[in-house]
Amino acid sequence: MQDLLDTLYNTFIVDDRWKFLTTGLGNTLLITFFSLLMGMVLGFIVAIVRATYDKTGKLKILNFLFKIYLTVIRGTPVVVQLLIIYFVVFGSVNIDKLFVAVLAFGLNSGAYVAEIVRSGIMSIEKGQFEAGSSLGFSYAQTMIYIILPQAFKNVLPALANEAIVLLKETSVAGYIAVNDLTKGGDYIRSVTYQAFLPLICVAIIYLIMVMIMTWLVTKLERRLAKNDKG
Amino acid sequence: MIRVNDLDISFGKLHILKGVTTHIQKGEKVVIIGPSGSGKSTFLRCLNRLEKPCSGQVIFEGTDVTQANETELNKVRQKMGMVFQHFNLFPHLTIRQNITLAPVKLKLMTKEEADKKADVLLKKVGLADKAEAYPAQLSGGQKQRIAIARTLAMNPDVILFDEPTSALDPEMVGEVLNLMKELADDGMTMVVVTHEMGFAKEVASRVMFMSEGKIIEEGPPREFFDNPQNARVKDFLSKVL
Amino acid sequence: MKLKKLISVMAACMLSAAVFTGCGESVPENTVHSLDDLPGKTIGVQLGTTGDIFATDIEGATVERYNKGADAVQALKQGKVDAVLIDNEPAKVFVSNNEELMILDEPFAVEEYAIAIKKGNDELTEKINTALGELKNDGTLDNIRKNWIGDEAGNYPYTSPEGTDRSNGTLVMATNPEFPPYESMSGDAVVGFDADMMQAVCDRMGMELIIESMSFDSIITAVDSGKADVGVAGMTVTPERQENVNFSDSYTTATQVIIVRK
Repeated sequence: MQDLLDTLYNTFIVDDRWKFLTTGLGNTLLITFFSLLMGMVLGFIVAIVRATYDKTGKLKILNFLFKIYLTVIRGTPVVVQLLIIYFVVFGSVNIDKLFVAVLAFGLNSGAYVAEIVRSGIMSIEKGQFEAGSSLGFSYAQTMIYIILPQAFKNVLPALANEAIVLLKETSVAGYIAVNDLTKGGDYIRSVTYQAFLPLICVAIIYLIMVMIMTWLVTKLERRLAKNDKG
Repeated sequence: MIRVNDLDISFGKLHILKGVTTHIQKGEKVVIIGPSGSGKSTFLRCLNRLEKPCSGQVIFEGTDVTQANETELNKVRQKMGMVFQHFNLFPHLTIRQNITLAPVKLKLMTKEEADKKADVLLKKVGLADKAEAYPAQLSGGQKQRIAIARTLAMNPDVILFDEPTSALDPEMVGEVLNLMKELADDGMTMVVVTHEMGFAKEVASRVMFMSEGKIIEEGPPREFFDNPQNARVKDFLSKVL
Repeated sequence: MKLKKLISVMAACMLSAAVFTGCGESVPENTVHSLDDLPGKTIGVQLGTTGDIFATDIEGATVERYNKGADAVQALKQGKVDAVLIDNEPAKVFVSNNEELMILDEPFAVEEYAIAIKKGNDELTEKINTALGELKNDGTLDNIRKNWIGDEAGNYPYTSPEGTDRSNGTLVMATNPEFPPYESMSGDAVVGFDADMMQAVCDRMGMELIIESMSFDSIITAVDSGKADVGVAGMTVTPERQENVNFSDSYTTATQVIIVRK
């Protein structure tokens, strides 16, 4: 018992070590939130362009560029992308690491969101497009008022899953010396040489965040599903 | 009102329409019948360019639909309503929103005007109590009546019906046909692709028979049904009547 | 189509931004000329090293903890940190490979490197100390050091004596082979001062040496949890570490130095 108390004291209290976890948690949430935002915006744009090309054959060049983007991002590990952006793209500038992390994870997430949303758009039956057109809506209006709201609802579970994956993936941000949650735990581990408490504590914090996100999404899904009852 | 000149369309090797020419006057109720695969739905969908014909013209109120740019085409479609076999209601919107979406977003009416119009139309189609329901809560017949109300909200000059009762359970066909009859009596110009011979006889001002991508015979319903000229028409009628 | 234009413009902006920042601008001038300049600066270290411990104690300094010493050095080159605190010997290797970097003359405290052994395993500690003592006395350890450090490097390669008995089992050594010349990867083998020294120790003890690579901050945990028998990674003896592991006698000394841009 005394041992456990000592370890607890050593891990969290000495030198205010718990602050590494709270700062880390803050940074992890910050990175996740903004890269998710960026990923969603980017993903929707890419998905719309790709779906437009699939359906109408327009936007050929843009579609081609986005296809390269998807291939590169989905074909390489996120850690490598992170390091490339930090050490190569922003090689000779002193740039905020959090910004680099948001950019890297946002670009990465955008590619996955794009394919999720595209599959959502393609899953909406042709009749919905035709109904929109036959009322005099342009392609863009049909997309915005009729297709995207339905597609979004259909892919919400997949998007939520992507958000959860993203949250966990940000744990590699430590590679560019970002003090995220994982790094906070690593730091404590490197000064106390105790693996158990910092690691378990970090794991539990991630788990709680994921559970909160899952709960929020279930609530949102239920609200959206109201339309389908009958 | 709609002038169709030598319309021709192929999908790959399939030659669907082989030079269709006709003229639809304001106030006419044209009912198109014929065996499946004869090109009647494709013909209808060429009128508002849901299918783009390979050659030929569709002139609607002075605009060549086949050559129109996107803005012109959308203007044409606002005036040329369409009712689909599978209703194609917007499942994420309430019945009221289904009806008011297009007039409001296309800035043809204010929200208040559109809501008022929706109330009138819902009463007309006999579903005033369903305004806040979602499509999934409606029966097939009710859905199709809402689809017709949605089209009417745009104040169209003509409505195209693409087999509006084919996807319905038999007991629901009547309510939709009755509504269509009402529209006809109000003087709406209608082009209807259907298998309902009774409706054709009773409502049509002209019956058009299509087979293998061509109009084989057309005329007023009495002449058409009582005294068909073409052997293929006779054969078809003997099977369906 | 408006959407198309908007997207094209955005794509163009992002690309050009990436290209401009990618080449343009040069790294900032060095601002660290002595130990006294460090407070308030951004200092790069490898997570969990003695450099990390020192840097953390410097007032007002921001400590950037990289997973590898080499990453910290890379960040220094690119102007992302103002200085790197690291052990003298790896610092020499990094500086010799990077013309634009130099080591400040002013060294930090002298440190003792020792072998980490599971807490309470006094028997193994004893045996290793005996072996180390013999190696010190017969000059083997000096030769190994000379082979890796200093002007005569490469002239004294260590080879196990012929017919070495290995009947006493295996000894698993945890290390972080990103710390030349003490340990680094050559092909798929870990080489360096520490590797040769442990080989010599095992030869004395009649054991088979197995080397496991891991991140530096995991080594003590690995020894503590029994995943490895010993941790040998240019590891300085500190009171915190002594609470968690046994240390052998010191096998060499090293200094911490500051690397800066020229």
